[in-house]
Amino acid sequence: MTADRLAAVVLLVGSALYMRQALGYRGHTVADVVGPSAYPLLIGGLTALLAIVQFVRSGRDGAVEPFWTRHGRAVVLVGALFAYILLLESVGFLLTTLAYLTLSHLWLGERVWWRAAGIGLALTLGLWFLFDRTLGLSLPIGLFGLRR
Amino acid sequence: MSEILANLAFGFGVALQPINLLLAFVGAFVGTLIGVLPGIGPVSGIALLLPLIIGLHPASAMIMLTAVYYGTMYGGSTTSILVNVPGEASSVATTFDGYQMSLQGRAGPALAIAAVGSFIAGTISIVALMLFSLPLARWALVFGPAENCALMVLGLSSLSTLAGENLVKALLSTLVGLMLATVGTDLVTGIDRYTFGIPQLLDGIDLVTVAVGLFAISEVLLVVREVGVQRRLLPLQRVWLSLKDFVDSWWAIIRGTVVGFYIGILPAAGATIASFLSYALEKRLAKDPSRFGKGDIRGVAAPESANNAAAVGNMIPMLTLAIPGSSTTAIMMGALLMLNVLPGPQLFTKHPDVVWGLIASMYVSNAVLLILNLPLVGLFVQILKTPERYLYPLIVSVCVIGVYAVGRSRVDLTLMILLGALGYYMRQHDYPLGPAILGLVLGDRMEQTMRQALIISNGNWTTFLTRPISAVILTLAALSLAAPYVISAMRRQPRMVAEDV
Repeated sequence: MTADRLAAVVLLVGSALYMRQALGYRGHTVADVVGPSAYPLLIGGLTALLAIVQFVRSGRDGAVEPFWTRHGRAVVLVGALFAYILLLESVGFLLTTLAYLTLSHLWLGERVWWRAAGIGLALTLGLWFLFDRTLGLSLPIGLFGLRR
Repeated sequence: MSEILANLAFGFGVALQPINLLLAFVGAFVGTLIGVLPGIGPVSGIALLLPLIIGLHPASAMIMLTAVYYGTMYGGSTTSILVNVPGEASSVATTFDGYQMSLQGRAGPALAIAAVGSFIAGTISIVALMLFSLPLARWALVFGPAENCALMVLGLSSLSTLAGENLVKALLSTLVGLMLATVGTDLVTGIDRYTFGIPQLLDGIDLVTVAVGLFAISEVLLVVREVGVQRRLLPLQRVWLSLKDFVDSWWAIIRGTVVGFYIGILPAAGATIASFLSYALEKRLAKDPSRFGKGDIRGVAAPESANNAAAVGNMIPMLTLAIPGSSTTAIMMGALLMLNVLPGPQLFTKHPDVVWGLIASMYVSNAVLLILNLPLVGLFVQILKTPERYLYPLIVSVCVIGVYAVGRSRVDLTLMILLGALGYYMRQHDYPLGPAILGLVLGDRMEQTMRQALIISNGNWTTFLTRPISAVILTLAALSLAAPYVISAMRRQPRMVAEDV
């Protein structure tokens, strides 16, 4: 199956589930004649219709590189991002960001580990001072139990 | 006329307050930085700054965002000329002759004409904006919910038509945005929709989360694949412009301004189309069209003037009708909504300081950028030399901070990553991202106006077609959807404009 057809199937199933969910929404005001389900049904229906059009019209894919060659780095980065945000609140901004930046520098081609870590540390502290201290966004403190 | 002058004086009073002037400077600088950096465009750049504007006065917030927007455009043209990497779609046309000029050692004049052309175009268009927007806003005051709903349908359908190669994919992108907008509490009945028991979703999915995920994260996912590829950076001499270069470019700038402004006002036709069209126009009008693409200065002056004029023109439908014409203006409108300022005809009466402050700040931004960029272009070029292995991880961290700042919740961050993966898929399979953002921004109000119109008509759906203005607007929307098929039928005939581009 081509990528466009697969996407069409996913969208069709998605819009069907979306509309099924919408059927459960009932309104309580007298004036609101169409209620809270009409609009989701409308756009869900349009999505389903267009997904069918796409399925029917879709052509062949061109030559495709193997999945891992093409998307390997993106998959790794998505994994790293999940780890980053999972640890962000419990471990704290400073340590997770330092670890994330250092590992990323090494991953993207930095050969000297202390340079990767040093630049990582400088950037982490820079972000901390800019966003937390200067702009007052209060980033998660995590393991450093003391706030300010 | 005197009314406009009085309003403008009032606007300058707002824009020239020290705090707003400072914000304009900071915005212009940060914007240029964003425009120069590869891997982060104007949409994600402005989206990342949204958490910072909460708490600012709406006029100050808009002044800063406008300056950022302008800055990204200047920055984008700088990289187009120097490294043949357009910072964004609207400066693609600039690469044709801009990079050639750099190769011939004429990077200085190319950068200078881009800055001067943008300045002239921006200034002329701002005058036009003032003349157009007030009457349009007054006229739009009579619009009821049916008309407003129809207008949003027109905005979404025309952006879908123009956004990509494949209309079906563009419409699907729009619909995904509209579906994301239905998440959260329904304002009419108060019931939760599509929240699946997650309390963080009650207020809906935040614009910052979607914009950063869909645009910035997806872009980084895409570019990390190419880290290690060396960019060629050309040496830069002094940025200057001879009188001859200026005289050669003068009419290209003026025509670029007119084309750009006109295209910019049309719903959804933005800076990108304007820059390509004006490039094609100059090439067609030239006595020696063969010089285009080989470093003709008019090939830089025309698209650079046009994209700036279009950016200003784009503000008109956003401010007067609440229909943004591009992803960037959609984000700016999202920012206004975040600050509880509803764009549209009432904006001019309820928040004159926002409107006229913003308009005046466009003049100020233009001047600031001219002062800032001509001497600082060398510094911005140095930034281009930052190794990508340090740059991209840093951009990701800034995205994480920006999205975390919105709701301080892991739900937002998870959504950001998922939307990043979605955007990555969409970018590779020709689904345009702009329509999804516009759908998200307009979705809520489109549903509200649709239901209000139906309440007024007692549930009669034909109200959208029996009210004349609404019927005309919906007909235009239908025409805009049919247009690509008509045009492709016409293309079979020889000699069409697009082939000249």
